[in-house]
Amino acid sequence: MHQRAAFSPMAILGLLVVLLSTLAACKTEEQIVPADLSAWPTVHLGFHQFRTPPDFTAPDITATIGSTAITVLRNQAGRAQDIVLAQEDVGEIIRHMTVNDWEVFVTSEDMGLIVSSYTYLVLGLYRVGNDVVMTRDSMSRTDFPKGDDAEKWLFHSLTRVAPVGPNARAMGFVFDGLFFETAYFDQAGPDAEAMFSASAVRAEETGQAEADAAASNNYQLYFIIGPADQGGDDRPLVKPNDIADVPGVKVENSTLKVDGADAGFSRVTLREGDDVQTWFDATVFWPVGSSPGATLTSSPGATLTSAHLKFVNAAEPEADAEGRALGLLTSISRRR
Amino acid sequence: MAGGTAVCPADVIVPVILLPGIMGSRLKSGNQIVWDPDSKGLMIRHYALNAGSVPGPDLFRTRERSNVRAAAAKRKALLVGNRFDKNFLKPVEFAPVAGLTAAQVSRNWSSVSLSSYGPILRDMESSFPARLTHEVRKHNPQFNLVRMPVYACGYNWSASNYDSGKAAAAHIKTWVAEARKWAAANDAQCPGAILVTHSMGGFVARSAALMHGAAGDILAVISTVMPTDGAPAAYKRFHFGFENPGIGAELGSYVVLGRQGSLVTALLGHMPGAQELLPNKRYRANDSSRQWLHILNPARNLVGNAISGGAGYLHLPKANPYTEIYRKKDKMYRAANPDWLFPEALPKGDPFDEFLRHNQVAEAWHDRIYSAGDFHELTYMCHSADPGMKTYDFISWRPDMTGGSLGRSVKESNITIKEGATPNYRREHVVWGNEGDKHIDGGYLGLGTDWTIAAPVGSGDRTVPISASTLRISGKRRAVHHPGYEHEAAIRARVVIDWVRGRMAEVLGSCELYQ
Repeated sequence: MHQRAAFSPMAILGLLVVLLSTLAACKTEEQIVPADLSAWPTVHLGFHQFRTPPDFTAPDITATIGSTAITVLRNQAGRAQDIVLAQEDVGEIIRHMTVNDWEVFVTSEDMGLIVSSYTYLVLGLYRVGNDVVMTRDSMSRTDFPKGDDAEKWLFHSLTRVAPVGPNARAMGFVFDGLFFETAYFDQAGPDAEAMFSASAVRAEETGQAEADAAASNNYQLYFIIGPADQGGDDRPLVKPNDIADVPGVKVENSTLKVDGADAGFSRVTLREGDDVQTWFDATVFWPVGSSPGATLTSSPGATLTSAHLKFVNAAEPEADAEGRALGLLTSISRRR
Repeated sequence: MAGGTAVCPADVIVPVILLPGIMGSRLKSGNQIVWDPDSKGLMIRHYALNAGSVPGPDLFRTRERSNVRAAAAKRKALLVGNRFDKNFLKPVEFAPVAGLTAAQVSRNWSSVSLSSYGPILRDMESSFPARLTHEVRKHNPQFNLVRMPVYACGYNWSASNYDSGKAAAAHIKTWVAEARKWAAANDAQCPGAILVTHSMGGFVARSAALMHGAAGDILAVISTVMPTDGAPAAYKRFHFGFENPGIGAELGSYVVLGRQGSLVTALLGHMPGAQELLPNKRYRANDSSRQWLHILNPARNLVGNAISGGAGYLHLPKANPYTEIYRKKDKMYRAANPDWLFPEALPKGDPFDEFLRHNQVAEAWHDRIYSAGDFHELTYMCHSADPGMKTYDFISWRPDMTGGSLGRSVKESNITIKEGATPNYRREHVVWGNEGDKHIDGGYLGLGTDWTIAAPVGSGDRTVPISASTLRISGKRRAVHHPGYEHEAAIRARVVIDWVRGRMAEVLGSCELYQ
């Protein structure tokens, strides 16, 4: 129904520039040599493990189960209620209960300028020795004025936490040195979405890792678990191309197997005059149809588990950086 | 600042503090820099390559929705996280950057984009002192500007300006305290800091002065292109993204910023700071009218005009745009499409609550700053009044519906979104298309109603309309420039830099402002 713009010579010229500047080529696996990982520490995160370059900082990690974020508070001797009230955005406590050894609080949300009329906070606390695991979520104050949306503590009712030990082979995930034994993913099935992430920067000898180094020597790794995309009318007519709009970018793609799953590995080069920047993108897709718990137990559910890595290490020669990126990628595996 | 006896000073030290506009501060999340306009590689990696763009005409819109959703999810993971937390992002402060001296780093210059703010920072540091001294001595021959340290104050622009103002106030107090200590030791005077602001930085300055107790440390605020009561362009971007500049160098920036509503809403829908740029209760269009949002009837032919006339269907707001426009979840003219707020996965419950949460903060910020006095008592403003720089000062939603030209009018059902329905937003082709192609598609065969936002026609700087300059600041303290300048580039425009220097000379030459 809507009027479309006509093709102009300038537009066609612009498109040609865009297309010509994007060169895609395929590399074979043999051309890339992964780095020696023998001195690289192993990181357990979520349902996976990977190895991190030893000259990088210990990775910052995050975990989100559905809309619930998890943090671990170290050496917290106080009462759960005091810990909750010490949170900057916590207002009045509306509800407090114990669910499967979690203390769950529903509170008003103090946003500094105002107290929200639309949302409550939901915090769950679980003590493990001197440490406290804290979950944070929000609840609609409009829909649940009494703060009684029981969906918000389903995760807590199905999850117990302990230090990582022999029991870590049971159904569950690892976060910040703790093991979360949970039936949540099986019970919630394909709706059980989760994301675990790790990010690190190269620790520079100058101690200025935050400055220039952070923009050019770092990696980000996301593990994403969610329902398999059913497609809908999202028509896959031709192969998607996600970088063709950027002039000056060259991409070399290769495919490989990581932990038995299909993986794509891209070397991306941005050239601007004499300035050349290189980074590495990779994605791993484990087979659709198994819940994340299936790495440890067998269970049904149309979930898709994927890992997404972006690695930049301009401090290394390009070939070495590529080997390190590939090393990190190939070290990824489901915890067994 | 004192209102005591006028005693013209001799030796003076005055800190100058630059507060940038939205997106003008470098930001980090944890140990990662996630926003740095000076790093082309970073912006391409994180944003240009997360733009959801696919080549080819609409016929080849391959996995368009998946691509855009994934791009929006990655952007949101970088700049918002799962759920907005004002501490998730922090400005990069006091970090060494190539091209800056150690002294400039210690004055926090690397907290802002140097490609945007480097020219005025360097001008203020190098050429301003001598010229200011020369100009002020015309009124006060004793005047001796012994020190003028120039600072930059980046801030987390995703957070409410209430919080950004709090952080800025802490810096202002520290830097002024240092200057006053130096003045005391050197028999000089420090009348407080002069704040030079760009766009949203004016909000931060007002917040620091009036909400967080820094007014006594501020001599004057010199604001450039501040959208005092908001800008309709911010509303438009929730629906259709940033404005396509056409083929040119700015196309890359356009792709980085987000060329469609879904990419913008996934971020701005969670950012109270960005929502504070939406028109507030006091906003007026360039013709001074309170109603700035118009739901029009279809364009009529002669027959249609004879039958139905040319009147529009709805004109808003009557009083409160937050409740009458932005939060009207079931109306197509609402600010945030709930389907776009959580591209990574819809949360349990109503995603629109998350938008409401921040929109309530935005409303409260404008109400509180107004009741707290609105501006620092010595505030100057300048704006572009260029009629050639077409700017949204009002928004006209235009329908295209069967029979419209013959007199069929818009009904409530045409602007109401049924429960569970998803409006079909269409974007332009990035190379072949133009801004006018962006629309909500009513469906095939012409049975539904298409909606577009009419192109801007107002004077301004392409983002902030000239009406922003006409409110509540007396004539001698405001300047309108025409020919004018683009909003982002204003702070580098020669006419603006000269105007800033002139206002600084005016302030420093006013002997009654010193103790």
